[in-house]
Amino acid sequence: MKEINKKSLLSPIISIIVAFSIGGIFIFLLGKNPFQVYASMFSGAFAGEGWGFTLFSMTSLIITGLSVALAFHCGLFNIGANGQLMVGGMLAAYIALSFSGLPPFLLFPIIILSALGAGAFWGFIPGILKAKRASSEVVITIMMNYIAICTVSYLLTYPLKASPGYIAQSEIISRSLWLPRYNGIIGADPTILLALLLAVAVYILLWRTKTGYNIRAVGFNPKASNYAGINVSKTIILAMTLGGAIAGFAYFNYIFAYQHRIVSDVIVGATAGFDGITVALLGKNHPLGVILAALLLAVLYSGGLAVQFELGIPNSFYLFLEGIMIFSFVIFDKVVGGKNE
Amino acid sequence: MIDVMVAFVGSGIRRSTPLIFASLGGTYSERSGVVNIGLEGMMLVGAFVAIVAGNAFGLIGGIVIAALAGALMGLLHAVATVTFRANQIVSGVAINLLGMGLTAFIPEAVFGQSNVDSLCTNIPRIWSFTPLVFVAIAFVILSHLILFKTVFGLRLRSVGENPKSADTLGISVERMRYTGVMISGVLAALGGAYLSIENSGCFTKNMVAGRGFIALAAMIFGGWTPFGALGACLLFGFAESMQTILQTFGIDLPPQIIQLLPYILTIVVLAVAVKRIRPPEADGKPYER
Repeated sequence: MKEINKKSLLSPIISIIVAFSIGGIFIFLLGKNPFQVYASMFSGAFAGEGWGFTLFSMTSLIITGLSVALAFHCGLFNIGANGQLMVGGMLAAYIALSFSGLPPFLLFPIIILSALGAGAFWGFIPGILKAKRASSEVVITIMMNYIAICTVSYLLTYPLKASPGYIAQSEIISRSLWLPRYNGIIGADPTILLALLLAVAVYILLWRTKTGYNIRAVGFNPKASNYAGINVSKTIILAMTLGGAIAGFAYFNYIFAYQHRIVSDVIVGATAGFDGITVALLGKNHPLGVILAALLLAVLYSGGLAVQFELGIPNSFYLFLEGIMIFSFVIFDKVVGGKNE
Repeated sequence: MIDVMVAFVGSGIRRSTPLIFASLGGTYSERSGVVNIGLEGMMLVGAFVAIVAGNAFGLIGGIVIAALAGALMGLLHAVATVTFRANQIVSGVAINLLGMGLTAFIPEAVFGQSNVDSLCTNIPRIWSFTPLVFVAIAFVILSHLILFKTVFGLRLRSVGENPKSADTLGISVERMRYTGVMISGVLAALGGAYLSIENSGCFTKNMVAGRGFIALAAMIFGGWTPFGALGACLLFGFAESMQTILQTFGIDLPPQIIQLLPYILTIVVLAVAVKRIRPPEADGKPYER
């Protein structure tokens, strides 16, 4: 864990403090007591079965955060987690619905591979365009997001739509594929373990393998890496593809442990990809940091959700806090002089 | 038949207008060397402020104050990216989150609902088009002249292409970039204002619905030029209105198929036509002496 030092923790901590302070001023201007609101938010995130939903949000945040962090290490910006998780979820749900006759122990590995494969493909396209045509991966991943949104929305409005009802959603998947939940609590399912496992895998990949070394070398200095004999374009494609594959899992808990179907409008217009960037930044692109940052954001989200009616602070307040957090982060990180973006 | 054609053209132009504003905005910012993926958030702020300010000061007041709010969002982006040389993509993401967050939570917290109706009715119209439609077209021509026929435009482009030589020639890279980014905020906000105060008569949560990113696509598709952006926005806008028209002829084309168009075209352009269409040389790169 040599990559975390005290100095690098400074800018995430300052930006969190700044965000809470500015947020507090807004709460005060609305005539509420900021300390009380924050206290209720934090207790709301854990009270009753609230901790389950916090865990639920945290799972997806860890996964998208890891996806963004991995690409970051290669000097790439993956704003495409949103699209990657949509296609990953879509293909996984499609396989689950189409082959429900197969025994689960056979089907589930195929489902996992299909989520991985679809996400990887969605990352591969910006990767290869970046490597071969020098196209901005930022622009391509944004475009890929909307292609995913439109495609999934089309599939769930027409061919794969559940027959009765107006909502664009698939049929319920076979009960044998539902992931177990501890005491039935939403979020207390095995996907959090999958997310943590992915964090360990990303750590090992980046700091314990030659591939990871290459990824970091290209991110640090592509020109020098090229002279050192690293195949830069192959590494870029690999980093984007792996990032996509990871993000392909971020919708998994929703489909297989919560709603048991894929719903078109849940992620559309939402900010899963942006959240992943926030998590990766605050976590300094380190898997452990990603886990902590995901926890913080999950607490804000589910705590905000829990108290929005009681305190009259809408849950969208969380996006505002997140915006200020990133904003102060990019500024303070420059001021403190951290190496990572 | 003529009715249908008129409706088609009218709706095509109305759908293009917010895109034209925002993609012109993107062009100014990127021509000065600052990538602006925060257009979406800036449009949302413009849309929201236009309604609130319009309810207090009338249509023109609403639009002007929305433009100022856009300038403020641009200023934020400029402070981070030009003064602090922060990563332009990250700052753009922050602008989007701030825009989404502020415009979602303020109306709910202050008015108790996420939709705010406009009190500005009786908006003047020429052939069913509201004033900002004409402003948008005028701005395209004006922007072409500003960017390519004035000293200011030359300077703006020079800091986006080669900031170092511009700097040695005594042009303030910082000042030009601040100006470019703030103009982009103003224009994006006008696009948002058109959507809310003139087109729908209300603000609804997340009403920009990805148009900021379509505008970004139009800016690229148009090769970072005002007329190119206009052409791309008209193409995207008319494609959208085509879907409605086909429906009146009984052809039920799923809307998602046409919605895909801007995104796929942009990827194709970036993948195939890179030689002819390319971003400003120093686009996205912070300038350090």
